[in-house]
Amino acid sequence: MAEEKVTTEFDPEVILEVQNLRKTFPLKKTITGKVTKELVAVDGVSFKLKAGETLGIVGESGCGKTTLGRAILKLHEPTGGRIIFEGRDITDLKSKEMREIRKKMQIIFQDPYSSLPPRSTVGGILSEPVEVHNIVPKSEIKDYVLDLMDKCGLRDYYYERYPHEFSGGQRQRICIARALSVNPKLVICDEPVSALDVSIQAQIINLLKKLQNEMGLTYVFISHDLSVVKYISDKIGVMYLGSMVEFGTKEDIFSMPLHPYTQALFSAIPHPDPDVKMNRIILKGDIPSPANPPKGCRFHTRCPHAMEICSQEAPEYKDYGNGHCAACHLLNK
Amino acid sequence: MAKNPNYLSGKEIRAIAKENAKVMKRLEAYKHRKCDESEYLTEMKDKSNILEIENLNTYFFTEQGVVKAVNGVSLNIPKNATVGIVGESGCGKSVTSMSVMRLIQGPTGQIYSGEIRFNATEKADDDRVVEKVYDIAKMPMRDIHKIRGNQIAMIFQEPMTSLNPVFTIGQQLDEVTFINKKGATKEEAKEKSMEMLNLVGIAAPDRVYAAFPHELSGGMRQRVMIAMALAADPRLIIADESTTALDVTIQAQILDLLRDLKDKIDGSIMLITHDLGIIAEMADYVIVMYAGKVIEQGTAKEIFHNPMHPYTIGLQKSKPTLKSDSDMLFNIPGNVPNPVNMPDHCYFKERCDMCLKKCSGDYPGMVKVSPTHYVACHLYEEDQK
Repeated sequence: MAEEKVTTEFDPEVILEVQNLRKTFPLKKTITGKVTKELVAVDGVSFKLKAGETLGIVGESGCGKTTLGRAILKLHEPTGGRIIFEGRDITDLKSKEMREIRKKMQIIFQDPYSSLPPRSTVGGILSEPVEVHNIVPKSEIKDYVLDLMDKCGLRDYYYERYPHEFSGGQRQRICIARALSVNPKLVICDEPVSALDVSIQAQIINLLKKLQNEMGLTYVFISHDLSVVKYISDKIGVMYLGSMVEFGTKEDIFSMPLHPYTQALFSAIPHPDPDVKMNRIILKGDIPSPANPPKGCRFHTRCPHAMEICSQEAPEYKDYGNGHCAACHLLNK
Repeated sequence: MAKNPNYLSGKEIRAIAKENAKVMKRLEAYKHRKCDESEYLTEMKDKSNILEIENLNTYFFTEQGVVKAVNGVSLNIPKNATVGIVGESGCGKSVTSMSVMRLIQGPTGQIYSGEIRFNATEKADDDRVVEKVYDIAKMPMRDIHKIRGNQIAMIFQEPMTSLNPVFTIGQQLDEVTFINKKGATKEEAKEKSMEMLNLVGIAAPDRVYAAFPHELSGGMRQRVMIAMALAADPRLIIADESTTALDVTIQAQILDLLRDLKDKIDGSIMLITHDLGIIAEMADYVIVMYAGKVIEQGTAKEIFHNPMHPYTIGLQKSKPTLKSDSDMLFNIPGNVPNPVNMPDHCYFKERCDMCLKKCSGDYPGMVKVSPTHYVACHLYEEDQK
């Protein structure tokens, strides 16, 4: 995959393009600072995302989905590959230049309990980004923030309150309002609902959908919950141990999952109906450690259809029609 | 700005603390009293049940006031059945299970009143099996070893933190046998531990036996936790959110294992979770809890095909499934009410979209819909029809 050409032609509809993105973390260094062992968190991920669409990224813990989300925002400096945002290559931008771009791309973090500063009021939290990025004149900041709070379903008297006074769902609304305060185009939602209760989850998902329609946002929605991802996404990418194993539109992925891992993942979800008896594919064993991934296809240690070739050669990530990509030797037979 | 209703002055807090101290002192003394076994022996209402909880109240005496975490809960667990308890965080499902194990952290948390009847089988001196019914809520702490661990076992929520990091898995597993079987030798204990590790499907029991918890993955640790719970041949297993911290593919493995084990050990499972999917798949009977009360109970089919309480209906509709295709998710407005100073009327009233005039009145009683299906809602009371 490394030889793949880096295309530079610009499609105005594509807001975000990721080409062969790679992020490694050093595990061991020699005294001179040379890295002798590294953990490959994201390994050669490529995709294109059109404006106004939602890309869902699913996978189990340790598969690199959060690292991917952060690397797109350059919160982690990517080790290789390119990130093209609105036709501009942002991979090598310095942090000062990134500041302009950050106005257009924001993130909502997983844990609403630890991602809000405990010593500022809701008003302070929401006005700071507006002030820093000069979104509106100083005199209008308060009105702007109150308007934003109304949009996100927060009452106006919350303005003077502190984060600890709120429940998880309300805090997540504050996080969403903070991300949207700078009028971004792309929002990366890193497991925004997994810390919340079912009934609150539905409120937050509906809010995210409503805001997307109103403001024309593009989401990258990272989650381990397939049913939530299916609900909110247009396109879905399935990750396993750092690499994308399958990518396609929601309809394609759900009606015809190509990769055995995707199939197993779908069958593992308990269905809330006692009469439905699922033909469950139960994967054996655990996810291998990303610091020491298996050779060849990374999934071959748990794959029910593993062949000889799987343990030797990594399968190619190919398009099987209509942008439905997968990486599996079974499909090449 | 509206006044924050949660705010209490120092004077008010001191008054509450003084009041609480009195009650807590009395309950603590009751918990640690010396008494004869006959004081807490009782009879089961229905012989086919293994556990009967009747009107259980577990309170937490905090400085903000009394939190009624479990507020008059009654439920039955039949022999050889899986009973699922479902509800959102803070609804009292974990506290119910902790009350059964008598693990409520005192002096703040106390079982205030109620009965927990448990049908225990014990081996008498002459190897006869004797059935005894204990009222766990009345048992003094010094006698709790009669049921905890060997009759009722618990699989905890977080496999990451529930194992002791400084002992090997083998040492921790052997300990269970040493405690529950008087005079067991090291060899016997090891044999039993290995048998248990095999039972829960660990591929290399020798290696795991000698390993420390940090060397194992989450799924493996959860298997070890299950092995530990089973090592004393309990008759009731309480699985408290035991798969919540795991990935879906590992969760599927563990659920499969639990289902197999129930038949092998010939016991009952009390399954506590917030995931309706798991309940539908595993449970025979379902109990739905909200804000410390049971609001609906019935067989799995009744609850999933014919939910009656507006909360149960809303809960099922608000969960996106792989098969649903609607444009907007149904959502229950608002939040779970503040657990201090609960109102007298139905706790769900503020969030309910099917409210009647009557709902502002007393808390609704349990209405019998079918021999197994009960619901606590004014909508289904006789005079309503």
